[in-house]
Amino acid sequence: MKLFRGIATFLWSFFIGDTPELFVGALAVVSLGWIAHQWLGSSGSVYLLPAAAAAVMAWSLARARRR
Amino acid sequence: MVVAVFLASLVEMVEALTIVVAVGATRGWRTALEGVVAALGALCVLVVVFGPTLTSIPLNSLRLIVGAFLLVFGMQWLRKAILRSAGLKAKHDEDAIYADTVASLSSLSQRDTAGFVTSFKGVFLEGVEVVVTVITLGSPSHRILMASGAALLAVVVVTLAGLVVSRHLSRVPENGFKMTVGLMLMAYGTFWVGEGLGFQWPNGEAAILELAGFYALATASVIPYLRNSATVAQS
Repeated sequence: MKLFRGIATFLWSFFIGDTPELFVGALAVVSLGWIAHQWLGSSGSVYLLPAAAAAVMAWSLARARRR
Repeated sequence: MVVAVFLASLVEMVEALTIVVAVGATRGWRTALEGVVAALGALCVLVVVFGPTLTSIPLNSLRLIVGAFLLVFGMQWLRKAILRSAGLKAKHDEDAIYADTVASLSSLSQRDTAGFVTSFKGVFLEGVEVVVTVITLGSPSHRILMASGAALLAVVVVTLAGLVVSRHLSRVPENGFKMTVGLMLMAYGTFWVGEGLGFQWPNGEAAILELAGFYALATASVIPYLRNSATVAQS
């Protein structure tokens, strides 16, 4: 049980830590990329994907600045 | 990819070396090296157990999963580096970490166990990050061996540098490395997510460089803005 808890804590701090917005944001970027690819094909989604990732970064930096 | 793995491994190994040198200086080199060897053994077990399972995952799914992880890691690294450059976060100070580790070890009475555990944890935790970087950057392009070689080279470089500069590891320009690695991880992450979703990138693998350039431009434009707002907040 202790080992399981230790592994869970390690994985949490490794992937999420004090920036849960980046983890959620990355999932949102992937989902947006999938939807964009279905609707727009590659031509539009190749621009949308990095723009979405940059927007997530901007959101996280704005959050850090407010703290 | 090789440069990204090398720089990421370099940063992680500098952090691990700081802890090992602190343990060696206070508890003796035998205890410190025992911790290092045990951690390296544990890392080997980790790679042997989980490495082969990667080959059974379909390539596009692997690229998508790996790309998402790289995006998360890249954004974490770049965020920290940007905040440090803008003065909104204290710079990573290896001298301070060294002093903290020495102080905490000196106050403990259980000599060998404390030194061994500290050395083991330092090398194992930083080593796991290196392993994850090697696997995530190397596996989608089937360049695990090349990525492992780059990581190994970083370990050798840091070990040799450690022998020369001993405890003055703060001279390593860590924030610059961290920013470069963050940019590259984000570029690779975006590229692999796109590949996993079936995108046709306009210039093939050259898109990685274009993505890195785009993120570098965005980073360069946001740092002065954050620096100004930090100055305004302080005054």
